[in-house]
Amino acid sequence: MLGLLGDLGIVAGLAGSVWLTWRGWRTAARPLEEGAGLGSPLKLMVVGAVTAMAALVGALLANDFSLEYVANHHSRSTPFPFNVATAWAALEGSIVLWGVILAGYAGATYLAYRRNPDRLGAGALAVMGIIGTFFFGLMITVADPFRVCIEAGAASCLNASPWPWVAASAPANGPGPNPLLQNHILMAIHPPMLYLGYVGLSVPFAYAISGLALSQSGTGWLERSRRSTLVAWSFLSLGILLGGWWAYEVLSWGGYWAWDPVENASLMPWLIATAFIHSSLVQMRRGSLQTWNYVLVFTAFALTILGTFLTRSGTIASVHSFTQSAIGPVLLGFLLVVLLGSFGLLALRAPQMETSPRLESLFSREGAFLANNLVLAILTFVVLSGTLYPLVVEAISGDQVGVGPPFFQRMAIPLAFMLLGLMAIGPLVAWGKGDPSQVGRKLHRALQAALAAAVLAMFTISRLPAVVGAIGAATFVIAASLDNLLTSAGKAAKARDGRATAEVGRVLAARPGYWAGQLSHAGVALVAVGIALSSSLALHSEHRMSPGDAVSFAGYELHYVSPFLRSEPNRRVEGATIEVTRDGQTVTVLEPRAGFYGEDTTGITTPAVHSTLAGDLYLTLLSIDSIGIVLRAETSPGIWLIWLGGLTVAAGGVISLSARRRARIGRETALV
Amino acid sequence: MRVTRVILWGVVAASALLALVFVTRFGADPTMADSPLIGEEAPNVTLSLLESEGSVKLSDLQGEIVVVNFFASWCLQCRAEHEDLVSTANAFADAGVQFVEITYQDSVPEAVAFLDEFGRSESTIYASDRRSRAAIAFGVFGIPETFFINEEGIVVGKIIGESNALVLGNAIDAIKRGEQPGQQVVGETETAP
Amino acid sequence: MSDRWPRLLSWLLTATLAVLLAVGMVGAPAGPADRATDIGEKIRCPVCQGESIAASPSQLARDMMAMVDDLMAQGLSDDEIVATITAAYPGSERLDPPLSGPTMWLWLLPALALLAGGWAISRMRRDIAVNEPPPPPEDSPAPPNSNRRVIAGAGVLGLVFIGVVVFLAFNRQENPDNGLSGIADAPVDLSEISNETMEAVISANLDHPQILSMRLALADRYFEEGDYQSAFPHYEAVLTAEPSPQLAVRALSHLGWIVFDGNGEVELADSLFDRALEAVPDDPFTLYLKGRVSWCGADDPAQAADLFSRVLGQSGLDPEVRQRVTNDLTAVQSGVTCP
Repeated sequence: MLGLLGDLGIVAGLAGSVWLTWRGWRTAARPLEEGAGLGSPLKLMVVGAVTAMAALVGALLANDFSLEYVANHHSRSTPFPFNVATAWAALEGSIVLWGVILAGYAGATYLAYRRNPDRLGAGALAVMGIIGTFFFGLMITVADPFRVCIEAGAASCLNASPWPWVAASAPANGPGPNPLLQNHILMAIHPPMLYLGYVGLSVPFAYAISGLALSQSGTGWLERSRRSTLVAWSFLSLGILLGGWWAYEVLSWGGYWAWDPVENASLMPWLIATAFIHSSLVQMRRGSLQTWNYVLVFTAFALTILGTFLTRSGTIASVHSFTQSAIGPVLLGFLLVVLLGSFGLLALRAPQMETSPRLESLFSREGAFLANNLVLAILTFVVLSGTLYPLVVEAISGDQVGVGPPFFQRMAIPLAFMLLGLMAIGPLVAWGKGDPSQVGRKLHRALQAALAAAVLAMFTISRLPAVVGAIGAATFVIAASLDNLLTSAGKAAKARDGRATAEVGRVLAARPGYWAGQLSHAGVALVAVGIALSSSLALHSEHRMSPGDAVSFAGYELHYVSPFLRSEPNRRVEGATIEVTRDGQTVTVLEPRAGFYGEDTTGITTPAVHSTLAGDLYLTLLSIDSIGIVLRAETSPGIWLIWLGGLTVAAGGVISLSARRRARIGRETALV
Repeated sequence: MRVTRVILWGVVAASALLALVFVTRFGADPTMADSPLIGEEAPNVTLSLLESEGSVKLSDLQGEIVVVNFFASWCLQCRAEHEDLVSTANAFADAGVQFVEITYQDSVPEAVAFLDEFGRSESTIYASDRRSRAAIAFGVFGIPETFFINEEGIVVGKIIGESNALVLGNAIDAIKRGEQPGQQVVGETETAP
Repeated sequence: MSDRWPRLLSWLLTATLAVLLAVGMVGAPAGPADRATDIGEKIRCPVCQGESIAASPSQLARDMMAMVDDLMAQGLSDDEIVATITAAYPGSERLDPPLSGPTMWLWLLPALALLAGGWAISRMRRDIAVNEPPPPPEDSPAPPNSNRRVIAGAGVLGLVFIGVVVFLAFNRQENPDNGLSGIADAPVDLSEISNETMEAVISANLDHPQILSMRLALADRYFEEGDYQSAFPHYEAVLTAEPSPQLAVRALSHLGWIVFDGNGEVELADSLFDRALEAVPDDPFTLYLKGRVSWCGADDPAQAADLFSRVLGQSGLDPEVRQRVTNDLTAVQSGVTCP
């Protein structure tokens, strides 16, 4: 029943997408039919996508094990909200989520189009229709979430049929979702955030393709898609942050980023989208960098498809790999089409839209943006080549090579410092032609603050270059921006004879986009400090303990009180109760543990974390048996700066969105 | 600008090439990559005997064909292949072939219980592996994995996954003929309890 | 004039801080002192997916970390330790690609790209000096044939997509399938297989319904070698397993010959041959052996001659066998004693 409904939803979504492509293309090609009939296909697409997702969630909630997806990824004991999150925790469901979000973005694009119906918008909707056709096509063929189970196993489905009318054979229960995915609430939120980011990048892509296909150069496509770009970028930032946070809370190695191929796959679109957000400003302000902006937006979208492909094809071994499936070749084909189509179209159109780059001076805002784009592009290239290089070498020479964190770190750290420097200087340089001595004067106090912070860090925290450097550079970024804000407020106060504090709000409100950007910069600076502190100053040790034992670690006394065993509906939890004391005072009681889900005997270790401003105490249970436990104790100094910084980065994006909204409603478009 | 167009078409060509690279990788599994040990001298590890005091050095067995198998009581494929290991060891006991079975991340009592349940060969050396030294020296990814060392102490073969008497015997026969059986994947492996 | 002093003081402060920082950082440690973790991060954990042994809580990773500690205590360099631990693993287990060999370009390409990008940006500056830019074209009308080209391009892309998917769908490498779960699943060329291997396979597959043919093959091989002692139990085992008549007759006839030739038990041999002939009447091999026993053991040349002629009366005999039986028949008829 629900399966049939879901199938209907998918078919409706597919039909809506194809229809939207057709109508959008006709409208774009023949301006006379303007505005006619784009709403109905769009509504069909949205309704179809939502129906499919609702049917899937409904089937999960109703324990409908006659569906293969439910039978293989759900169990009766899976608690809320993980039973709902299962709808996107496995391959087919994640494609449905993709479809729903795409339909949502298409809907938003349509609303914008209705306000301003023109060929560009219609063309963009047609492109989104093509993307939708592909993803709904996936759902109906190789990634069908509503296949009916026709041969039930003990707790899984052995064989399934794509036809909804065949007689179903439902197992009594299923194995439940991947234990790693039902271990922490963040895992229910992280994928949708990431997908909201990934899929959002299809909007600027669609506008760009539309503009190129219609030979409409200029900044129309940039202005029309900027909101979506910012939305996508904010969600992507949040998604990456939550992914790291989840890894830290669940994967029990005290880290948050392993340069895993799939993590890299989410970082790359973010880097390119960040570059795009900056360089599109150059085109909107100065008209240059047209081709480059197309390149960025195509690359960003292609990288999201690459990320999806890497996650799902099993081509690269990774923590995040879904099991191998037939979807790999299809996604690869789509990736190829996206790359060939977009870059080919750009190459065809390049002669028509080329404008000579206009750069009065390298020392200018646009010069700084160019430098930032260069660094971000190189960083993306480093991540991309590091991820794919082993494949390429193996294909060419058959040699096995490995590329891992040491490579990425060594490459990324200098580039990150370059970015921090640019973040401090760039926003103070004027458009067109900057005045170096004026900028130098503006930066002097920030430089003093940075040096002072570095010296202070050197004496109080650590003499490690990474720590001192990161604290200095981050202070430089934040101080330069704050100094700028206060100086402007002070000047305004002097001019109007008001109080400087009152003027701060006015200065902020005058250029909300700019200051939102500054907020994101400050977030990046905080993240940099957090990374430097937590990676350079972490302590760790391993202890074999029996009940009653105590060890001292990093100023704490860890006292192993007793083991415990708990039965929960969906798992069995084994763990150790550790009393943490400091100077004789009980600080907290931690319970590092291992969870055993269903038939799984491997066990998922879950760390126990005690967070303080100075740093986290992070306990992992490496093994537990009748004799005792092996406990790994770690500290993560300043790791909260990463979470705070990440949230600040995303907040900057969100604020600039609302700023743009106000600006649009108001009299003028305030470009940053 | 012509340069731009050339670069753009270059991107198109490069991405097509990269896609080709991916195509070659569908279904490939990095843990199935050829072991660099094959053709090299066998690592000389010292193992403690599982059920008695004392130890054995792998190099002391040189002169015979040595079959080194890694197993554990928690590994289902190891259970399935154990009978074949025993029968092969028995069959070749007088034919200059020494079987060595090494526990992988298993406790001694559990490994002994495993042998009690699934049987032993009189001629096989059962050994435990402290802190996985032997497993690391042999480059074990998962178990079961079985290595073949010829009379000169060179690693000449490796079987990944659940082996059986025919596969084991064929490999030994090939070594006796002076051939190098090389690496063979016959099934899945398990990596952890 | 008045704000010169504060400015000078301010610069003095900057300089002081800079000097302080520089002096303070002289001789500062380059990185965290935890050498073991540094080394561990250069080795991929073989049983995990994309984690280093420093990060992984898995047992093998921790054993490898313990080995790192041991090797450090032995005074090995970082590279030596990594090389020692990963010696038996493919190169993909080393996470720190060297600046040489196949991974050299991995390090060089980003550096080259940075240089190229910097050069491109600096040229953008020079371009403007040469020619003043035209205003950016806004919504320039499309050339008349442009839509057609886009449609054609889209069509080509659609075909590319379908082509790629179809090609891949038919060219997917399957994971190597273990076709060796049972010995009978794959036809086995027994000539390549040693006696020991056959013994091993047989004793590991005692209950396998199709193991009997391999048992017989092995027993026949022992029989030909004259190793009756090894052959006997296998023939016996075949018989106890309720074999098909074709297998039974082979086992019974060979057993009969073994008890006669090995132990001189004529009557037992004869009864075994009779059982064989019950299973397959007129089995030429059994008839021949029975004839040999009658001739050589029971001293009954008449019966022997009778049996030999019954063999020769059958069609489809191997010419070599026919020759041999004919020779024996001639011999027995001419009263020659058995050789």
